[in-house]
Amino acid sequence: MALGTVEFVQALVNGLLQGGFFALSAAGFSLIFGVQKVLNVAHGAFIVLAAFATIQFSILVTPVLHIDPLLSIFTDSLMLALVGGSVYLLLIYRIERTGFEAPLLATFGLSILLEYLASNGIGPFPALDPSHGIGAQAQHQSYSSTAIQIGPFFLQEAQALAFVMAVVVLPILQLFLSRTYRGRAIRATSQDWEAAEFSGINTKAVRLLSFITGSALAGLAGGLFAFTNSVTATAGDEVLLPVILVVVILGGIGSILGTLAAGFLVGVIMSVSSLIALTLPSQFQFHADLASLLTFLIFIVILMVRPRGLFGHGIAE
Amino acid sequence: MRNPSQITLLISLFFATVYPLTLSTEGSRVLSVYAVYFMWISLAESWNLVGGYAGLLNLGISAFFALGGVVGALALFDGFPFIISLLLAGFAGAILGVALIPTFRLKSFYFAIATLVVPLIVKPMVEFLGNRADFTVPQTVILTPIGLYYSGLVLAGITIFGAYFLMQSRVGFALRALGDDELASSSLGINVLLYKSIAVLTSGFIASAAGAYYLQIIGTINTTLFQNLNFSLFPIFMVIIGGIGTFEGPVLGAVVFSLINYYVTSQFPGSTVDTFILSLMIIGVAVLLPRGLVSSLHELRKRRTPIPVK
Repeated sequence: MALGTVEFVQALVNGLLQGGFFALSAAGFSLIFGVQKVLNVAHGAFIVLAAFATIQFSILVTPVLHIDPLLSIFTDSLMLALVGGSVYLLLIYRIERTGFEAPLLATFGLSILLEYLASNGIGPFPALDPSHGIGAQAQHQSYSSTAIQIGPFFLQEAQALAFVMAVVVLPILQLFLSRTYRGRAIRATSQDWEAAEFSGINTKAVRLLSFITGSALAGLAGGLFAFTNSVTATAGDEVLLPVILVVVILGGIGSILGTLAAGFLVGVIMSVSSLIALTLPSQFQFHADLASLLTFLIFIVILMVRPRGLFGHGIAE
Repeated sequence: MRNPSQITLLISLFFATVYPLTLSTEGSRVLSVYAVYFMWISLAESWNLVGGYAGLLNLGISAFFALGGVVGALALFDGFPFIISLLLAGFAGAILGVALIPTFRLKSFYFAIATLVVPLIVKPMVEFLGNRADFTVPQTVILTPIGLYYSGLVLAGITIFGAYFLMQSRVGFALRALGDDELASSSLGINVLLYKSIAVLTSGFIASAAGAYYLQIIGTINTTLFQNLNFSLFPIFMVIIGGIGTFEGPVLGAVVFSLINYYVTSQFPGSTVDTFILSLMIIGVAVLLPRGLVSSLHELRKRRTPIPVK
């Protein structure tokens, strides 16, 4: 297959759309890590939890009340804000001063727990993938399969939505962090929590706020994930967390706009490299996923040159 | 070796050596159950070298472990005996450790995040070079239960004593100094880069050898093992239960973890409730004993002792 301009541009477009989703998924992780230095390995599981809720919503609520399942992304993000807030108050708050390992283990245990719940069902809600491996998707044809046609290019509607959401929500978050008192308090705490406390900032409230905001972002991303992908219980660890880590490090930890740019970059690298993999003659086709190979190779190269990420402020070194 | 936990360790090693002799030929099948204990001991001990002593939080030890499994499988395919496959796997792990050296300039948290990505980088490379994702070895090269038991015992024993003597040496003191305060130790003339490299190399060697041993336990390695967070984070969990930065801590943690895991799994055969209980256990330990079983007990004892009045 020859590589035409149209296919190439289409891959670029797909990558940008996909990148919006990546950025949305990674922003919450970046915020939480930036502020309280808690590596929330359950972030992927949070996203899957929200996707799970949207899928349940589309199965249980939509046929009865005729509410657009897309609206459930807002209830998802509310729900995840609650989950994140309680996780912070019940688990993380008690142990965050003991060092790095205990909070990490707590969120690790949490991610196993959420994975278990998603694959076995929560109370009356059925399990996510009873057949193991074949994921579920939100039951709404018009979002998951319709594509908007612009000239010779196609935009998948759900992906376009994730893109728009990322482009709208993340700059708002950035404005919140840089222009409002609370946002500045969050940034102050992430730079030096002791100095922030001496300046009269209630750092506990700030940490709670950042954990809630980060989790709410996971909720938004998760709701959209249910429309764009087929969701399995382990997708959090296997699909989302790797991409989130790459995007967060490339974007520079704690930098929201950096995360957005890195999301686009990773999305484009992935989609262009899978296009290249497709055009290779069959004897050069590998069992390996060329897209992730290339993505991670480019990632190492960037990391070697700039360990703080593309948009970080030199805190890493 | 003078303190009680070290003596206990020596006695248990002795019993572990003698135990199979008391079993009949039929009963020796039970020995393969203990292989997992030896694997976890080695993996936890190897994590402790870097994460416990040198204070470098390596969250990507599954990369070493899975790479060891893959290299071990390739060695067995080429007809090498088990022991050579273990050594080759170890060397591959040490080489991967060398590849980690550039990340030493990252500060603690950022080092931790970077190591979390390491398995994700190695996985597609291995798939690309090996041109497959599944490495299943023929049943003929798998050890018998008794061979599996003794090779595991030797692996764990070498790891434990190796860690002990390494920590008694100049290297060990340098590593602990590094873990306490990197700037202060480098100003005292400790070659930070050199000693960190030694720690990561040794740890990588052991973790990869443990991976090749794991291949003997389950007979197959799939590259999804690279991404399996369990193999990166369970060792940390064990080290924390047992006591971070001590050489007997990882052994205690690995044994306690494996015992509980074995007990819970046998209580609910054919069900996944054990995962549920395990997750609650991890959260519980993290929240209630964030400094581990041993040091929490020490703290309790200190609290009970009244402060002497002058």
